[in-house]
Amino acid sequence: MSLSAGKSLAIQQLIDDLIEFSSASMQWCASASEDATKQIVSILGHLTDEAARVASMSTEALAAVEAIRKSAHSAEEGKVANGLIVGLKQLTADHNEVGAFVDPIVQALQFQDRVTQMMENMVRMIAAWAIERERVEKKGGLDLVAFGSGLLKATTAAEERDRIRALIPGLPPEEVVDAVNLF
Amino acid sequence: MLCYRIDPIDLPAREDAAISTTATAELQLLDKTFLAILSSLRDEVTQVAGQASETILERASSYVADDARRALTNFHKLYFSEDGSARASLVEVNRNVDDLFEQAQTALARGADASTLKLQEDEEKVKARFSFSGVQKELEAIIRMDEGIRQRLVPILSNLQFEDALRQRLSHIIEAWEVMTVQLRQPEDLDVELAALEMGALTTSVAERELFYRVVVKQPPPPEAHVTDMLMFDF
Repeated sequence: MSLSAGKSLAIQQLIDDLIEFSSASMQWCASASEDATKQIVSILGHLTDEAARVASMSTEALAAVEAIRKSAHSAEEGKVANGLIVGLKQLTADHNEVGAFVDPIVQALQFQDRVTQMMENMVRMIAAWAIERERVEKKGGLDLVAFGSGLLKATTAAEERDRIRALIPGLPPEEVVDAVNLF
Repeated sequence: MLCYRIDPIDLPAREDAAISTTATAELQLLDKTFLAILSSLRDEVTQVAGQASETILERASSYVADDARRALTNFHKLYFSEDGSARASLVEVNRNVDDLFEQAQTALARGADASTLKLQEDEEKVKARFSFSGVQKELEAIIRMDEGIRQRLVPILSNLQFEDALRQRLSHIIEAWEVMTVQLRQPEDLDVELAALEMGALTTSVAERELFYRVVVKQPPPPEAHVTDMLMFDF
Protein backbone atom coordinates (compact mmCIF):
# COMPACT_ATOMS: atom_id res chain seq x y z
CA MET A 1 0.00 0.00 0.00
CA SER A 2 1.42 3.39 -0.91
CA LEU A 3 0.78 6.69 0.81
CA SER A 4 -0.65 9.79 -0.75
CA ALA A 5 1.90 12.44 -1.62
CA GLY A 6 0.29 14.81 0.90
CA LYS A 7 0.53 12.35 3.76
CA SER A 8 4.05 11.39 2.85
CA LEU A 9 5.09 15.04 2.93
CA ALA A 10 3.33 15.59 6.26
CA ILE A 11 5.23 12.66 7.78
CA GLN A 12 8.51 13.99 6.43
CA GLN A 13 7.72 17.42 7.87
CA LEU A 14 7.07 15.84 11.27
CA ILE A 15 10.43 14.06 11.14
CA ASP A 16 12.21 17.30 10.17
CA ASP A 17 10.48 19.19 12.99
CA LEU A 18 11.37 16.50 15.50
CA ILE A 19 15.01 16.73 14.45
CA GLU A 20 14.87 20.51 14.93
CA PHE A 21 13.26 20.10 18.37
CA SER A 22 15.86 17.50 19.42
CA SER A 23 18.69 19.76 18.36
CA ALA A 24 17.22 22.83 20.09
CA SER A 25 16.55 20.87 23.29
CA MET A 26 20.13 19.59 23.36
CA GLN A 27 21.42 23.11 22.77
CA TRP A 28 19.40 24.15 25.83
CA CYS A 29 21.19 21.41 27.81
CA ALA A 30 24.59 22.65 26.63
CA SER A 31 23.67 26.20 27.63
CA ALA A 32 22.30 25.05 31.03
CA SER A 33 25.56 23.18 31.57
CA GLU A 34 27.43 26.47 31.25
CA ASP A 35 25.18 27.95 33.93
CA ALA A 36 25.88 24.95 36.16
CA THR A 37 29.59 25.62 35.68
CA LYS A 38 29.15 29.18 36.91
CA GLN A 39 27.31 27.87 39.99
CA ILE A 40 30.26 25.60 40.78
CA VAL A 41 32.55 28.61 40.64
CA SER A 42 30.38 30.50 43.09
CA ILE A 43 31.31 27.83 45.65
CA LEU A 44 34.80 29.31 45.55
CA GLY A 45 33.41 32.48 47.08
CA HIS A 46 31.86 30.57 49.98
CA LEU A 47 35.04 28.66 50.58
CA THR A 48 37.13 31.78 50.82
CA ASP A 49 34.60 33.25 53.29
CA GLU A 50 35.62 30.78 55.93
CA ALA A 51 37.70 32.62 58.49
CA ALA A 52 39.98 29.70 59.26
CA ARG A 53 40.72 29.08 55.62
CA VAL A 54 41.20 32.76 54.84
CA ALA A 55 43.76 32.95 57.64
CA SER A 56 45.84 30.26 55.98
CA MET A 57 45.79 31.99 52.59
CA SER A 58 47.96 34.84 51.47
CA THR A 59 46.31 38.09 50.39
CA GLU A 60 47.70 37.48 46.94
CA ALA A 61 46.09 34.03 46.70
CA LEU A 62 42.77 35.37 47.94
CA ALA A 63 42.84 38.11 45.32
CA ALA A 64 43.63 35.53 42.64
CA VAL A 65 40.69 33.31 43.70
CA GLU A 66 38.38 36.30 43.59
CA ALA A 67 39.64 37.30 40.14
CA ILE A 68 39.06 33.80 38.80
CA ARG A 69 35.59 33.68 40.33
CA LYS A 70 34.66 36.96 38.67
CA SER A 71 36.09 35.86 35.33
CA ALA A 72 33.43 33.12 35.14
CA HIS A 73 30.76 35.72 34.51
CA SER A 74 32.57 37.38 31.64
CA ALA A 75 33.96 34.24 29.98
CA GLU A 76 33.08 33.54 26.38
CA GLU A 77 30.20 31.11 25.97
CA GLY A 78 31.40 27.55 25.55
CA LYS A 79 34.73 28.27 27.20
CA VAL A 80 33.71 29.00 30.77
CA ALA A 81 34.90 25.76 32.36
CA ASN A 82 38.03 25.45 30.28
CA GLY A 83 39.26 28.94 31.15
CA LEU A 84 38.52 28.40 34.82
CA ILE A 85 40.27 25.06 34.98
CA VAL A 86 43.43 26.58 33.48
CA GLY A 87 43.25 29.55 35.88
CA LEU A 88 42.66 27.39 38.97
CA LYS A 89 45.43 24.96 38.10
CA GLN A 90 47.83 27.85 37.73
CA LEU A 91 46.61 29.23 41.04
CA THR A 92 47.35 25.92 42.78
CA ALA A 93 50.81 25.83 41.23
CA ASP A 94 51.55 29.35 42.46
CA HIS A 95 49.98 29.02 45.92
CA ASN A 96 50.22 25.58 47.52
CA GLU A 97 47.91 26.57 50.37
CA VAL A 98 44.84 26.77 48.11
CA GLY A 99 45.24 23.30 46.59
CA ALA A 100 43.18 21.50 49.23
CA PHE A 101 39.99 23.38 48.42
CA VAL A 102 40.61 24.31 44.80
CA ASP A 103 41.41 20.78 43.54
CA PRO A 104 37.89 19.35 44.13
CA ILE A 105 36.43 22.41 42.39
CA VAL A 106 38.74 21.79 39.42
CA GLN A 107 37.57 18.17 39.41
CA ALA A 108 33.89 19.21 39.41
CA LEU A 109 34.59 21.72 36.63
CA GLN A 110 36.28 19.03 34.58
CA PHE A 111 33.21 16.81 34.89
CA GLN A 112 30.98 19.74 34.00
CA ASP A 113 33.18 20.65 31.03
CA ARG A 114 32.85 17.08 29.76
CA VAL A 115 29.05 17.34 30.07
CA THR A 116 29.03 20.58 28.06
CA GLN A 117 31.29 19.08 25.40
CA MET A 118 29.23 15.91 25.14
CA MET A 119 26.03 17.93 24.74
CA GLU A 120 27.63 20.00 21.98
CA ASN A 121 28.84 16.80 20.34
CA MET A 122 25.36 15.31 20.48
CA VAL A 123 23.96 18.39 18.74
CA ARG A 124 26.49 17.82 15.95
CA MET A 125 25.57 14.13 15.80
CA ILE A 126 21.86 14.96 15.43
CA ALA A 127 22.79 17.21 12.49
CA ALA A 128 24.89 14.39 10.95
CA TRP A 129 21.99 11.98 11.41
CA ALA A 130 19.57 14.39 9.71
CA ILE A 131 21.93 14.75 6.73
CA GLU A 132 22.39 10.98 6.46
CA ARG A 133 18.62 10.41 6.69
CA GLU A 134 18.04 12.82 3.82
CA ARG A 135 20.77 11.19 1.74
CA VAL A 136 19.51 7.64 2.35
CA GLU A 137 15.94 8.70 1.69
CA LYS A 138 16.85 10.16 -1.70
CA LYS A 139 19.57 7.82 -2.85
CA GLY A 140 19.61 4.78 -0.54
CA GLY A 141 22.88 2.94 0.06
CA LEU A 142 23.21 3.20 3.82
CA ASP A 143 26.75 2.57 5.00
CA LEU A 144 26.54 2.31 8.78
CA VAL A 145 30.30 2.13 9.24
CA ALA A 146 30.79 5.34 7.24
CA PHE A 147 28.00 6.98 9.25
CA GLY A 148 29.56 5.75 12.51
CA SER A 149 32.96 7.05 11.43
CA GLY A 150 31.36 10.46 10.93
CA LEU A 151 29.89 10.29 14.45
CA LEU A 152 33.28 9.40 15.90
CA LYS A 153 34.66 12.62 14.43
CA ALA A 154 32.07 14.58 16.42
CA THR A 155 33.32 13.15 19.73
CA THR A 156 35.93 14.46 22.12
CA ALA A 157 36.20 11.62 24.66
CA ALA A 158 37.19 7.96 24.37
CA GLU A 159 34.10 7.00 26.42
CA GLU A 160 31.82 8.44 23.73
CA ARG A 161 33.69 6.61 20.98
CA ASP A 162 33.58 3.33 22.91
CA ARG A 163 29.81 3.62 23.21
CA ILE A 164 29.42 4.26 19.47
CA ARG A 165 31.75 1.37 18.61
CA ALA A 166 29.70 -0.94 20.83
CA LEU A 167 26.64 -0.24 18.68
CA ILE A 168 28.18 -0.16 15.20
CA PRO A 169 30.39 -3.20 14.64
CA GLY A 170 33.22 -2.70 12.19
CA LEU A 171 34.33 0.75 13.26
CA PRO A 172 38.10 1.20 13.55
CA PRO A 173 39.50 0.78 17.07
CA GLU A 174 40.82 3.66 19.13
CA GLU A 175 44.20 4.81 17.90
CA VAL A 176 46.93 4.13 20.40
CA VAL A 177 48.93 7.29 20.91
CA ASP A 178 52.40 6.78 22.31
CA ALA A 179 52.99 8.73 25.46
CA VAL A 180 55.44 11.54 24.94
CA ASN A 181 57.86 11.93 27.80
CA LEU A 182 59.82 15.11 27.64
CA PHE A 183 61.91 14.27 30.66
CA MET B 1 24.41 -5.72 21.05
CA LEU B 2 22.08 -4.06 18.61
CA CYS B 3 19.85 -6.36 16.58
CA TYR B 4 20.00 -5.52 12.89
CA ARG B 5 16.92 -7.50 11.87
CA ILE B 6 14.34 -5.11 10.47
CA ASP B 7 10.83 -5.58 9.23
CA PRO B 8 10.28 -4.26 5.71
CA ILE B 9 7.34 -1.92 5.32
CA ASP B 10 5.34 -0.70 2.35
CA LEU B 11 6.85 2.18 0.51
CA PRO B 12 5.42 5.63 1.13
CA ALA B 13 5.15 7.74 -2.03
CA ARG B 14 6.50 11.29 -2.20
CA GLU B 15 6.13 14.07 -4.74
CA ASP B 16 9.82 14.38 -5.52
CA ALA B 17 10.89 10.77 -5.52
CA ALA B 18 9.37 7.48 -4.53
CA ILE B 19 11.16 5.84 -1.65
CA SER B 20 12.12 2.25 -2.25
CA THR B 21 11.42 -0.49 0.25
CA THR B 22 15.16 -0.85 0.64
CA ALA B 23 15.58 2.82 1.45
CA THR B 24 12.74 2.63 3.97
CA ALA B 25 14.30 -0.41 5.62
CA GLU B 26 17.66 1.37 5.61
CA LEU B 27 16.10 4.41 7.25
CA GLN B 28 14.66 2.17 9.96
CA LEU B 29 18.08 0.65 10.55
CA LEU B 30 19.71 4.09 10.61
CA ASP B 31 17.12 5.45 13.07
CA LYS B 32 17.30 2.38 15.30
CA THR B 33 21.08 2.49 15.42
CA PHE B 34 21.23 6.23 16.05
CA LEU B 35 18.62 6.08 18.82
CA ALA B 36 20.59 3.31 20.51
CA ILE B 37 23.69 5.52 20.31
CA LEU B 38 21.78 8.51 21.65
CA SER B 39 20.49 6.44 24.60
CA SER B 40 23.96 5.19 25.37
CA LEU B 41 25.42 8.72 25.21
CA ARG B 42 22.62 9.96 27.46
CA ASP B 43 23.70 7.37 30.05
CA GLU B 44 27.30 8.55 29.72
CA VAL B 45 26.43 12.24 30.03
CA THR B 46 24.14 11.77 33.04
CA GLN B 47 26.80 9.61 34.69
CA VAL B 48 29.39 12.37 34.27
CA ALA B 49 26.91 15.03 35.47
CA GLY B 50 26.29 12.83 38.53
CA GLN B 51 30.03 12.69 39.21
CA ALA B 52 30.13 16.50 39.13
CA SER B 53 27.25 16.64 41.64
CA GLU B 54 28.90 14.09 43.92
CA THR B 55 32.18 16.01 43.88
CA ILE B 56 30.35 19.19 44.80
CA LEU B 57 28.45 17.43 47.59
CA GLU B 58 31.71 16.14 49.03
CA ARG B 59 33.24 19.60 48.80
CA ALA B 60 30.17 21.11 50.44
CA SER B 61 30.84 19.16 53.62
CA SER B 62 33.48 21.73 54.52
CA TYR B 63 31.24 24.77 54.40
CA VAL B 64 27.67 23.73 55.17
CA ALA B 65 26.30 22.52 58.47
CA ASP B 66 26.07 18.79 59.10
CA ASP B 67 22.27 18.67 58.95
CA ALA B 68 22.22 20.42 55.57
CA ARG B 69 24.96 18.19 54.18
CA ARG B 70 23.15 15.08 55.44
CA ALA B 71 19.87 16.24 53.88
CA LEU B 72 21.63 17.01 50.59
CA THR B 73 23.33 13.62 50.47
CA ASN B 74 20.08 11.81 51.31
CA PHE B 75 18.29 13.75 48.62
CA HIS B 76 20.91 12.93 46.00
CA LYS B 77 20.83 9.23 46.92
CA LEU B 78 17.06 9.18 46.82
CA TYR B 79 16.65 11.08 43.61
CA PHE B 80 19.46 9.62 41.52
CA SER B 81 20.25 5.96 41.46
CA GLU B 82 23.82 4.77 41.01
CA ASP B 83 23.52 4.60 37.23
CA GLY B 84 22.23 8.16 37.09
CA SER B 85 18.56 7.37 36.47
CA ALA B 86 15.84 8.67 38.74
CA ARG B 87 14.93 6.52 41.68
CA ALA B 88 12.00 8.64 42.61
CA SER B 89 11.00 11.12 39.97
CA LEU B 90 9.49 14.37 41.13
CA VAL B 91 7.23 14.35 38.09
CA GLU B 92 6.01 10.84 38.82
CA VAL B 93 5.35 11.73 42.42
CA ASN B 94 3.47 14.84 41.32
CA ARG B 95 1.42 12.80 38.86
CA ASN B 96 0.64 10.34 41.59
CA VAL B 97 -0.56 13.20 43.79
CA ASP B 98 -2.70 14.49 40.90
CA ASP B 99 -4.22 11.03 40.50
CA LEU B 100 -5.02 10.87 44.21
CA PHE B 101 -6.62 14.31 44.00
CA GLU B 102 -8.74 13.22 41.03
CA GLN B 103 -9.78 10.05 42.85
CA ALA B 104 -10.87 12.11 45.84
CA GLN B 105 -12.77 14.62 43.71
CA THR B 106 -14.59 11.87 41.81
CA ALA B 107 -15.50 10.01 44.98
CA LEU B 108 -16.78 13.17 46.68
CA ALA B 109 -18.78 14.12 43.59
CA ARG B 110 -20.46 10.71 43.83
CA GLY B 111 -21.48 11.48 47.38
CA ALA B 112 -18.74 9.69 49.31
CA ASP B 113 -18.14 10.70 52.92
CA ALA B 114 -14.88 12.67 53.18
CA SER B 115 -14.16 11.38 56.68
CA THR B 116 -14.19 7.73 55.58
CA LEU B 117 -12.81 8.20 52.07
CA LYS B 118 -10.12 5.65 51.10
CA LEU B 119 -7.89 6.29 48.10
CA GLN B 120 -6.18 3.62 46.04
CA GLU B 121 -2.40 3.91 45.89
CA ASP B 122 0.09 1.08 45.60
CA GLU B 123 2.74 0.59 48.24
CA GLU B 124 5.69 1.63 46.07
CA LYS B 125 4.05 4.95 45.19
CA VAL B 126 3.26 5.67 48.84
CA LYS B 127 6.88 4.96 49.74
CA ALA B 128 8.22 7.18 46.95
CA ARG B 129 5.86 10.00 47.83
CA PHE B 130 6.72 10.04 51.53
CA SER B 131 10.45 9.57 51.14
CA PHE B 132 10.73 12.17 48.41
CA SER B 133 8.57 14.82 49.99
CA GLY B 134 10.16 14.27 53.39
CA VAL B 135 13.69 14.92 52.21
CA GLN B 136 12.58 17.77 49.95
CA LYS B 137 10.72 19.46 52.81
CA GLU B 138 13.73 19.04 55.07
CA LEU B 139 15.96 20.76 52.53
CA GLU B 140 13.46 23.53 51.87
CA ALA B 141 13.21 24.16 55.60
CA ILE B 142 17.01 24.43 55.86
CA ILE B 143 17.12 26.82 52.87
CA ARG B 144 14.52 29.07 54.48
CA MET B 145 16.27 29.18 57.84
CA ASP B 146 18.49 32.08 56.93
CA GLU B 147 19.88 33.93 53.95
CA GLY B 148 23.48 32.83 54.60
CA ILE B 149 22.61 29.12 54.43
CA ARG B 150 20.42 29.70 51.40
CA GLN B 151 23.25 31.37 49.51
CA ARG B 152 25.61 28.51 50.34
CA LEU B 153 23.19 25.82 49.29
CA VAL B 154 21.90 27.41 46.09
CA PRO B 155 24.94 26.44 43.95
CA ILE B 156 24.73 22.85 45.17
CA LEU B 157 20.99 22.55 44.65
CA SER B 158 21.26 24.27 41.27
CA ASN B 159 23.72 21.62 40.23
CA LEU B 160 21.37 18.85 41.32
CA GLN B 161 18.58 20.57 39.40
CA PHE B 162 20.73 20.74 36.32
CA GLU B 163 21.53 17.03 36.59
CA ASP B 164 17.82 16.28 36.81
CA ALA B 165 16.82 18.60 33.95
CA LEU B 166 19.56 17.18 31.73
CA ARG B 167 18.43 13.61 32.31
CA GLN B 168 14.81 14.51 31.67
CA ARG B 169 15.44 16.53 28.51
CA LEU B 170 17.58 13.81 26.94
CA SER B 171 15.13 11.07 27.92
CA HIS B 172 12.21 12.98 26.42
CA ILE B 173 14.06 13.40 23.10
CA ILE B 174 14.76 9.67 22.96
CA GLU B 175 11.21 8.74 24.01
CA ALA B 176 9.76 11.04 21.33
CA TRP B 177 11.88 9.34 18.68
CA GLU B 178 10.82 5.94 19.96
CA VAL B 179 7.20 6.99 19.45
CA MET B 180 8.08 8.29 15.99
CA THR B 181 9.89 5.15 14.86
CA VAL B 182 7.06 2.90 16.10
CA GLN B 183 4.55 5.03 14.18
CA LEU B 184 6.68 4.85 11.03
CA ARG B 185 6.31 1.07 10.96
CA GLN B 186 2.77 1.58 9.70
CA PRO B 187 2.85 4.98 8.01
CA GLU B 188 -0.58 4.48 6.43
CA ASP B 189 -2.10 4.52 9.95
CA LEU B 190 0.02 7.42 11.15
CA ASP B 191 -2.00 10.46 12.20
CA VAL B 192 0.61 13.22 12.11
CA GLU B 193 -1.25 15.59 14.46
CA LEU B 194 -2.04 12.88 17.02
CA ALA B 195 1.53 11.59 16.90
CA ALA B 196 2.85 15.13 17.50
CA LEU B 197 0.51 15.57 20.47
CA GLU B 198 1.53 12.18 21.87
CA MET B 199 5.18 13.21 21.69
CA GLY B 200 4.41 16.64 23.12
CA ALA B 201 2.78 14.98 26.15
CA LEU B 202 6.16 13.45 27.01
CA THR B 203 7.57 16.88 27.84
CA THR B 204 7.33 17.92 31.48
CA SER B 205 8.66 21.45 31.83
CA VAL B 206 7.04 24.67 30.66
CA ALA B 207 10.05 25.72 28.55
CA GLU B 208 10.45 22.29 27.00
CA ARG B 209 6.78 22.02 26.13
CA GLU B 210 6.71 25.52 24.64
CA LEU B 211 9.71 24.63 22.49
CA PHE B 212 8.09 21.40 21.33
CA TYR B 213 4.79 23.06 20.45
CA ARG B 214 6.48 25.96 18.65
CA VAL B 215 8.74 23.72 16.56
CA VAL B 216 6.61 20.61 16.01
CA VAL B 217 2.93 21.34 16.69
CA LYS B 218 3.10 24.95 15.37
CA GLN B 219 0.71 26.32 17.96
CA PRO B 220 0.89 27.47 21.59
CA PRO B 221 0.74 24.66 24.15
CA PRO B 222 -2.55 24.23 26.02
CA PRO B 223 -2.59 25.10 29.72
CA GLU B 224 -2.80 21.68 31.28
CA ALA B 225 -1.70 19.49 34.13
CA HIS B 226 1.52 17.49 34.36
CA VAL B 227 3.71 20.42 33.33
CA THR B 228 6.01 21.91 35.92
CA ASP B 229 8.68 24.57 35.95
CA MET B 230 11.10 21.62 36.34
CA LEU B 231 12.39 23.03 39.61
CA MET B 232 12.96 20.64 42.46
CA PHE B 233 13.29 23.54 44.86
CA ASP B 234 11.76 26.95 45.22
CA PHE B 235 14.79 28.99 46.31
